[in-house]
Amino acid sequence: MKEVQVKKIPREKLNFWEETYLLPIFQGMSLTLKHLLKNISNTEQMPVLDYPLEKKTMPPGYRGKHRLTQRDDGTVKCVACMMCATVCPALCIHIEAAEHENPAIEKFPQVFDIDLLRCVYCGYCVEACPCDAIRMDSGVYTIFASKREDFVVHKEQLLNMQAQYPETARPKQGMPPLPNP
Amino acid sequence: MPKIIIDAVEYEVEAGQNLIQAAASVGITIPHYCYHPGLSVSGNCRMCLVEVKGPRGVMAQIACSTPATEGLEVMVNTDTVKKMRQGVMEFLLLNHPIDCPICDQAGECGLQDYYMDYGLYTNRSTVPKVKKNKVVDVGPLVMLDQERCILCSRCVRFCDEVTHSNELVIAGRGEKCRIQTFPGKQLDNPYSANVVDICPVGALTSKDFRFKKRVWFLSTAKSVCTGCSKGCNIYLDHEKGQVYRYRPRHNAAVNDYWICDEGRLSYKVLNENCLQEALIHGEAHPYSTVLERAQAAIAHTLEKHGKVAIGALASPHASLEDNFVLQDLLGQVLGPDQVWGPAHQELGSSDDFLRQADKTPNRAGLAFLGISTDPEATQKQLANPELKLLIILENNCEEAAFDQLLQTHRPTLIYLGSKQNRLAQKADYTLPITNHAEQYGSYVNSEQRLQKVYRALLPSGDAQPGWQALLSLLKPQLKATPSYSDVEDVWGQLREKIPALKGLSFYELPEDGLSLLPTETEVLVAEEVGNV
Repeated sequence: MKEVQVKKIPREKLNFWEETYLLPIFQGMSLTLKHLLKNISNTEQMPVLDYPLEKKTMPPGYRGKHRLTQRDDGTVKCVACMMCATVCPALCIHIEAAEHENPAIEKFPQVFDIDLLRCVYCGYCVEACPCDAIRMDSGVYTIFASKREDFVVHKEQLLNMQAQYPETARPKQGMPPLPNP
Repeated sequence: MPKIIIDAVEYEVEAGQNLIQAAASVGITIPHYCYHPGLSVSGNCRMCLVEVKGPRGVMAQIACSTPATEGLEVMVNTDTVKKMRQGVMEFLLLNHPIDCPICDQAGECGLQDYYMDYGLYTNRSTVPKVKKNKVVDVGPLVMLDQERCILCSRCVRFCDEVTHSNELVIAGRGEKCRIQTFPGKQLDNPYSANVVDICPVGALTSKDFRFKKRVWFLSTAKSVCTGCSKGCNIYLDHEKGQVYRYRPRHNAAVNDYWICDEGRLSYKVLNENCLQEALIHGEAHPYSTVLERAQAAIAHTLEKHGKVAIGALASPHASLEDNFVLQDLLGQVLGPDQVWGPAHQELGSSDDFLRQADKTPNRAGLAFLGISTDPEATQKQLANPELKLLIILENNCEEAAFDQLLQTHRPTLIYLGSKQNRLAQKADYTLPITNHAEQYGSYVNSEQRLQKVYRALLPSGDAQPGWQALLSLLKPQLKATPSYSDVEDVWGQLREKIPALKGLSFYELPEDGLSLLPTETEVLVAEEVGNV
């Protein structure tokens, strides 16, 4: 067996004072104490939220829970083209299309389910949508349920979500216009 | 064979072709909408414009009506040609609604395909688009959208030239031009849904497939329609174990580019009532239990009543391989005369084009294997009271003959089928086998053409290919057990035992089938030999 050349560096010997680590401990604790005193003396400035009672507003462009937009008459804007289901990398969107009674609309989603446990919140569905029917601007980041099935949100639930930001706050999405040849 | 020059390269092409066909035969695609190889040339879409060198210099000509003649010099990819295509696309899309999100054609649309290649990408039109009718119900299987139509007239020509039923017409002038049915007429001929396939855009869409699935989710397998004995070649489109549609596949010797509506809709039987579990008297049991009991029943009958007490019904619904294995293995156990053909005919409507009266896909295959297809002979055999055990392969059995048989004397029934039907419920032992979408196999059509199907789906439940189920059923009785592990092994036996298939294998079978009829040379040789 080949011998490996190893250079041994002897460990530096600590004296008794250094071995107690008292100085570093006090150095660390003094920082903690400084913050504690500062926060106690000035509670309003404390950068902590009283979370379940108080919620943070996410910045515009934050991709929260999805919602389906509506036409002026309150019907679903989605035409079940399946672009979102096609582009979804997590395969979490399930759509079943049906015939709409109005021939000008022609097609609408009878079933529109999103499995929030599978969703990775990439926002591709919003980008792919040709009808601006799905958005992630609800600002909802608390997604909870007690059963697996309850994480699958249906069309009605998605339609009832509200936008958190005004229309103007939406960041520009989608491809830039193609250059004129 | 004329030589033509395409983009400065000389090619030798077959005589009598037009430029689109000639270019396609050497692997060059010329974009086109109105030209269809199965229809006459109409030359109205102008998409196939190419530059042709003539006595008066280089001229633009449509490729579909230009015959490929000796020395013809063609440019198909110059800037001028591309600009012409772009201009044509701009005109075609002038009044197009661009409603791809709700259009079923999206994904296989000629407009989408060529737009990516030759589109202008900007709209120069300043006037509003012309509105026409959407969601027009033109027939039991076809939905028309007049706005999407580019007036290529393929559908009109199909109804004129192929079905000769003349239902569709282009009405109106100028921008009001639209496809419609003649007043009081419906597009209801037995081949009507072919217009959906030939429509290059989403103007004519299938009502049956409407909004079921976006086409890019579908996987495709080459298959053969089992609706009747014609055996039309098809593409079988499926996703996640479910079949969504049949589309015709070109085969000049069988169905050309077409398929009948009845066959097109016959995909539905693949999705419903699939037999997934082995049954005893209609109740589900583990596969191995049923198999053991059925084997024991065969062994018992053989011991007690002898070989004549066992019979088997071959099936015109099952593949050639299944029937061959039944005939071959039972022949080894019982002798050659105990395998009979089906006990009844299955007849339906027919015409002189594609639809055949015989609604079974493989009756000619039985005859090819030498199994009698005379129902009366089989009924006589079945009426024999000495029959104690009957093995039945894939049978619909809606006939009264079986009921009579069951009432007079009741043989033990072992049924191998793919459908949850009456016989599966009534039989003593039922083993699930695969249907034609779940297995590799071959069928012989009424014109003696051997055609193969590819497996599209995974077998549902415990189903096994018929030849595999038969092999495991008869294993205890066989002296030398053949080791079939796939369809190619079965073909090893097939080419050994059947002289007509000598030297062939399943994978080498041509995609468009193999005619089992003697070729002209063989006929001549046979005549010569006869004369001598």
